[in-house]
Amino acid sequence: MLKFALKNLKTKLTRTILASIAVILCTTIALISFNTANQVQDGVISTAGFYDTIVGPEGSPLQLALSSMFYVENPLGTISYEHYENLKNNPSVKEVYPIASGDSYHGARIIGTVPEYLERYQLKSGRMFSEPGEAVLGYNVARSGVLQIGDEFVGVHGLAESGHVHADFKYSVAGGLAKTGTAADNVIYTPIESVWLVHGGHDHEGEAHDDEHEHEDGKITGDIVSIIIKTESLAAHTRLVAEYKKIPGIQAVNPASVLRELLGNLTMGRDILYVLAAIIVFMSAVVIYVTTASFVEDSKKDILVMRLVGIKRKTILSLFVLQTLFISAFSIVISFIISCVALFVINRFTAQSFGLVIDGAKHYPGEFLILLAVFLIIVVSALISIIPAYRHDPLEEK
Amino acid sequence: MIGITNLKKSFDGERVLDISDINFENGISYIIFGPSGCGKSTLLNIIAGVIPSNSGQIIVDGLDISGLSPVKRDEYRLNSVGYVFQDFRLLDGMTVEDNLRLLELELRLKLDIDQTLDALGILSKKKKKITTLSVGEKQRVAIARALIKEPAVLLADEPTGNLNSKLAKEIMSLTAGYAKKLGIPVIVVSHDYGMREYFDMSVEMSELNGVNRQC
Repeated sequence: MLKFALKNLKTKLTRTILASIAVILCTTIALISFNTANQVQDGVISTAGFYDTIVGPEGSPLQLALSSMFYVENPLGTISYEHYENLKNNPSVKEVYPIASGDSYHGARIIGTVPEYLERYQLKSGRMFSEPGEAVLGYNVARSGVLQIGDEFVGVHGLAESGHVHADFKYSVAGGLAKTGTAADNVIYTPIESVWLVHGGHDHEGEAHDDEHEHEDGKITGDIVSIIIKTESLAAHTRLVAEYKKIPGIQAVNPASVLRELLGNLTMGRDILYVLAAIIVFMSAVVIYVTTASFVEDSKKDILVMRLVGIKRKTILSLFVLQTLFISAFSIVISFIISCVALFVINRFTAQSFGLVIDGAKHYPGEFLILLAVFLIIVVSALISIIPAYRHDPLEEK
Repeated sequence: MIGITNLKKSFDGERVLDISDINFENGISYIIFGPSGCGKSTLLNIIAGVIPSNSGQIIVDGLDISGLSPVKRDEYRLNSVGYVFQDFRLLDGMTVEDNLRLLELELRLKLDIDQTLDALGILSKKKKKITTLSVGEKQRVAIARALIKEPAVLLADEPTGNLNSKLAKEIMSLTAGYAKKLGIPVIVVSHDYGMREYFDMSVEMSELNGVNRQC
């Protein structure tokens, strides 16, 4: 019967293709909306939730958090490296890492820090950087293939590829990180000293970066854009924030509370997307109802022929249901594949613009519920349009 | 064999058919003549189980079809009746083969498709779409579909209405010949008296139908 059902669909190919396209469009949009809303939310929470304090120059706390944790937005300016050294000796501080930045390579920011900052990530290839000039690639940067282990490259000031080229300082790739699903996948890490060395010999007026380095007893030092901290306790965090309030030109913020406003907006956006997804799924039901109804209407002559030959009404109903099931299953599979591909494409945009990684292979149970809902709605819509034709026997008109 | 007694049929209260008694024997071909509106097609539709009678008895191959439920009539039509229509009633978007394989939906494909088509001289058209066939070829496909289930009775309602004279004679001769070949009754209704010579027996609808109409 399946073979015959497929042949019957083939005779109404245009209508079949249009119905499939309608379902695929509706389902794909619903899947992408749901997935991206969840991945953005998860990405913000997982990145911002790991550390409780960021110390940096005065200015927008959100800009400080976004530039330090998601590597988007320009840094607010620089602060002295001394703050980091002081915090290292603070007993209420569990973990503390300096962040320096200013350059990029092929759109990927070059972040200066200490090797310990990357300890929570796994290496996929090569080794961790150990000397100034060495670099470790984030997962997406390594996967893009622009750099291989052992390659040498020079950074460009800022994010634009047409920026000033720091040709006098060459980086060499020591290793690559495994996938983290965070903004770390999109950047290149290097020892903080690399950043100081790059910016030692010249000045970029009006651009914030840590460009003053000194050589005191052979030790390279300079400024940093922020310090990322994990304190021992909430009380320690509160004390730290209070202490930095007293220091002019510097601030300590809690990234989670700073990002709360952003998350609030995202949650509202997510709710809107859920409503949108529901409307789209409903629309697909209407499309299928109309398509199946007109399909049945178009097939009235064929139904009469089948009935005259002796094909049972039950068999004809099964034939139409089977056709609907085929269109549904086909459209759902294609929608899922397209949504995966679309997520990879969306990742290119969100990774560069927001520092958020959208994983095309990451899926939520809710997506499968959407697919199931679409499938059931299609079948019910089709049945609603088929059953009147089933009840009304064309032979009774004869 | 078909035996009909006291068959009555009305539409919207108007009696259109009243046949007291007639038998159609196996191996005999019948042609029923009469102008349009005399109840010829209604009689065929009742024998075919397409519509029920209001009263009377119709025994086909030992089965009384007059009291069958719609579902049982479907089964009877599928299993016992080969019906050829004037307007062919084929699935136009499908191929010749698909039109025959339609019966596979009810597991009722008894004869070999190639042999059946070959016997009707249209084997080369097996993969062709119905819309690409000539009217003569379409009528042969309709006959093939009626025969391939090995019916207990072969009925044809004005099977040559759309054909030219030469082709009409060819089709009539072919259809009538199945009575002897298959040992079943073949009943054809027509208004073309020139086709009488191809059939074993002819029946005048005006003599058969007791309803006083303009036949």
